[in-house]
Amino acid sequence: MAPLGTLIGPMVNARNYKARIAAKFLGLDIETTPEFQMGVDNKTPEYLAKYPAGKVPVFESANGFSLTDSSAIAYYVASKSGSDSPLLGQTPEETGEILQFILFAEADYSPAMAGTIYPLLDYMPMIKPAHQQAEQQLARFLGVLNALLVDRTFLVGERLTIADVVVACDLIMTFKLYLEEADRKQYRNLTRYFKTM
Amino acid sequence: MAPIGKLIGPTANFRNYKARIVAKHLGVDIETTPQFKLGIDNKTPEYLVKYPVGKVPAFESADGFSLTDSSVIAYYIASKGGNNSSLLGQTPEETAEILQFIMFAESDFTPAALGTFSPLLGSMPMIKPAHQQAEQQLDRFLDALNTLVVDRTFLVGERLTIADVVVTCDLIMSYKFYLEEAGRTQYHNLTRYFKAMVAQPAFKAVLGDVELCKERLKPAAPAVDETEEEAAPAANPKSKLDLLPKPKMIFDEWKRFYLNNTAKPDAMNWLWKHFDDEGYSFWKVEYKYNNELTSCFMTNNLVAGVCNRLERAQKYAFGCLLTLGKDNDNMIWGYFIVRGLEVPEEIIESADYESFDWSPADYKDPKTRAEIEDCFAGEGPALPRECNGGRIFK
Repeated sequence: MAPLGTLIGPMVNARNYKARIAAKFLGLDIETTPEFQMGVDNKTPEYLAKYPAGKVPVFESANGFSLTDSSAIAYYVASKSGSDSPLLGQTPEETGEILQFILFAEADYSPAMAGTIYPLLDYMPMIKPAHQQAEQQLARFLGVLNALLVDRTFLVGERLTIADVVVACDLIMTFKLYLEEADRKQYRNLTRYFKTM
Repeated sequence: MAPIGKLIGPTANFRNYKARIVAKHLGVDIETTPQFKLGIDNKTPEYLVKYPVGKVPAFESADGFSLTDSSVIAYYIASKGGNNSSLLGQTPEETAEILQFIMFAESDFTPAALGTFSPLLGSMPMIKPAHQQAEQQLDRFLDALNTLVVDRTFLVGERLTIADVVVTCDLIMSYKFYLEEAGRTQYHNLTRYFKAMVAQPAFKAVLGDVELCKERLKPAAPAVDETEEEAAPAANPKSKLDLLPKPKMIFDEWKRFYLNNTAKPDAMNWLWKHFDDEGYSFWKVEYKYNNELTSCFMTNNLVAGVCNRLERAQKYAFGCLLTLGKDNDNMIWGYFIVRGLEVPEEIIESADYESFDWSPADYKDPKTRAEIEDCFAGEGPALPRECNGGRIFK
């Protein structure tokens, strides 16, 4: 089957995984860019002419359509497997709930996570009060997700949706670099969810 | 016609406008909550039970469905409000482009904008380097948007979509408080786009006339909280410890070194080399009610709570509280470094102080020193029992 398009961006990257996971799940083919260098290839004049905000990943379809934002790309890939794609909402309410989780993950959770973890990785300068605030927010959001997941296997409906793909990917750095064993016990529902995903 | 539902949140608020503009455009009715007080009504236990993150606005439909996030609510109303689905894109490509713009506006643009404006409006503390960083990001994204709209009337397709509603509402604060005439000229494509959007009937009906910025906002006294977030904690009242003479060891340097290096031997070597026993003191901290503890998991939760409630002492203390032992047979034990030679007021006044014994520790005594080292490392033979969790207070 011809690939849907090319996912352009660094491969070992939580955002890059989203579209690839969706494609894998649906049996769709997308090309990737294993040689892509983060911070170099997305800063060239050619890249910025097409994608002025300089973000990665981006997606270029076989017929010339292009898209930015990892969650939007994953959503698009999911929508190409037919109008009743299992990863998307089956009702307006389900779609609303899916989008609600995606926006929460991207506009709330990820900035708090980045503000906490990136200064520790030296991706960002350490500004103590800002870091503290980010950490408080992160703890708050982890608590909320943990409470939400006490009686759910999947975030929306009773099956895997694009909400799970986005949220689980957005949790990767937190589980790899931040939550120690005691924390994972503290957020046990979230840990169970993450491990299941 | 019956209202489609209720939009719960402060009404003079850029996020609140989104769903209302969509409703107006579609000719559907939506209830609002004009008396809603931001920062108060979204913090009540009732609100937080339904909407644990405490964000506004929230939406409750006539048939009991509830939803958060201003852009998602706008999207949902568009999907329910009749046959005019053109707001949502007519093809998968258009829908994806719309989502792309919404994600950009909400996860990139708006955090940069709020990081710039909230300290100027007083709804967030002004932390200069963080503010500077936010401002740089804001300019970067304004520039990107300006480039994107150079040859577009609408963001997606050739007509109004949800993307325009979300992006325009997210731009309101920039045009009201930040972009003076020179800035509006610099981003003239974006300005043309913004003016065209807010002039449309549905926008005008909800926003009225949008007064463009005459003079950029300068840092001011605390005023309206424009964010969906909790207000940042109020600055701590002055501590007696701030009046002590400047110590030879800088606490933050120790904390940073500890966080970025292995405890034994690197961080501990640094500590013994730099420790200033005129400016700081060590204390052993032991829980008084170990016989009431049950599983290590529960003890760890307790320790986490204790550390959270010590927040006021954050500047003046560093410590490790460990859960030692096994389920139904464990203890809370640890060491703290504090500023000054006494237990700080901020710790004595904390809710949990009475539950612990704080005793002065002599780090020059070899046995105590070994305990401190193993405590800060979370492991080692000097610990009275096996470590099964704990918390670093920093």
